Amino acid sequence: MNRTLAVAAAGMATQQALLDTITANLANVDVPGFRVNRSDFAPFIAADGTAFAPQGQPARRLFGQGRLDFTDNPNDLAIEGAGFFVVRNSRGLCGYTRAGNFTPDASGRLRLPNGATLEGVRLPRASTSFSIDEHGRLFAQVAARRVDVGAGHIKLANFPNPSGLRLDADGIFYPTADSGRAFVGSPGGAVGHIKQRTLERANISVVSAMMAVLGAQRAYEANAKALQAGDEMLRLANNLERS
Amino acid sequence: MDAPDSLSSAAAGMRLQAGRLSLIAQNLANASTPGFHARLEAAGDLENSSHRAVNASRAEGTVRRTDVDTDLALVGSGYFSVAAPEGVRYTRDGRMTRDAAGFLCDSNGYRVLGALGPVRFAPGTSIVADGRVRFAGKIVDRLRLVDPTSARFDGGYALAAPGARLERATARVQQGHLEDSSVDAIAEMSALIAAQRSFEANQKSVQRVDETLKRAANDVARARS
Repeated sequence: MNRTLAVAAAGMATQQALLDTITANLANVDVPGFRVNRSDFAPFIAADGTAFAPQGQPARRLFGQGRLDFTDNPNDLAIEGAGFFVVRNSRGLCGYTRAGNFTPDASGRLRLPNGATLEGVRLPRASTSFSIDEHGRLFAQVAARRVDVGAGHIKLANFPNPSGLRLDADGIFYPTADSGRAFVGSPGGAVGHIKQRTLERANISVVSAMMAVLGAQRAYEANAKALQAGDEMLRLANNLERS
Repeated sequence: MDAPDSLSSAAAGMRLQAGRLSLIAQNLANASTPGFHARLEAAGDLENSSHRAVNASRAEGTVRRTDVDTDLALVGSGYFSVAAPEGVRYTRDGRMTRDAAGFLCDSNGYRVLGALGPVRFAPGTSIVADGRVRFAGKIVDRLRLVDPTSARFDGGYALAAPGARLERATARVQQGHLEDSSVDAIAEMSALIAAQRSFEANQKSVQRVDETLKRAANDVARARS
């Protein structure tokens, strides 16, 4: 009987954890390049066949494609495919991101709002705009020059296991032992294509997230009912002896 | 049936319903565990209610599309084989992932087994419905999908009972899908109400019998004197 209460309470905690993950995902629905987290629970069944509450596992990040929005801003870049932009953060460390909302700074570097700069690219002075070919080569249009100037080469990286990447507070992914070593390639191959004037949104489907919220809420209620029923049975058992 | 007999059978009824509720709570707690199969009471005699066998339901959960290439759902009976440190274990939980070396592994990081040992799963690998692994247009491996004639559970995994035969499973694999928990919340809730009410009824009859016994013990003796 006490196990019933414990299992029902653990079931409520499971649904609570699920809701926490979904709300964290929904809070980031407008962050370009955000990757959704999925809470995972594994069944745990004892040798005698009784099931315990599911075992919580660390949430797993999913790297499916997000929606591509045309923005008409030449500085917005998006990856269609599985790769990552290689960026250098403000501390000089190399990181990886799917966010493509760059802006050129005074020195000609393409910068993300968090201060990280895109590797391999430097726009010349007095450049007005740039274009990217299918292999990731950048050509800048410079005022008073008729021919476009080469401004670098964007390369994309990928990992054997992107779910193993560590997301830091600055919104940039860093490799870990789980993710494996990065392999870097020119756009157009296995690492995806670059699209200019486009932004990739978070890979969240708001509709399915809302459905998951409803499901978690009802499952929470059902577990609460089981807890109540167990409590009620204990109360009745205690009242067997009417004095 | 004399009075102490009916007292103990009503108490056994209460114990039985408490056991039912425990099973319902287990199922409801796993209402969102992928690949979980609802636990059912095995049919048995009601007299010996303290040790009742529990079986996994054969009903399968609905298969939900996730578009994650390492999510695999099994449709039909069968298990994936994984290499756990203690030996080969079986699971229906298809939330696989890749490890740093490029092998397909399950959510605990144990490698999924194919015909040739652990399965390599480079980006772009696809899995055909019968479990064959295809990479760059060629079949490179085949998932070891088995259906042990009798399985027992140990933690999150099933393992073949000693002496069980391992048959090739008839299950089909659906890549990019996950099997949801097969727990039916409506059935569980109605079973919960039924268990609660039968518990109450049994409790009432314990009290009734108790009342009768009290009468017998006090009033009968008084009538004699």
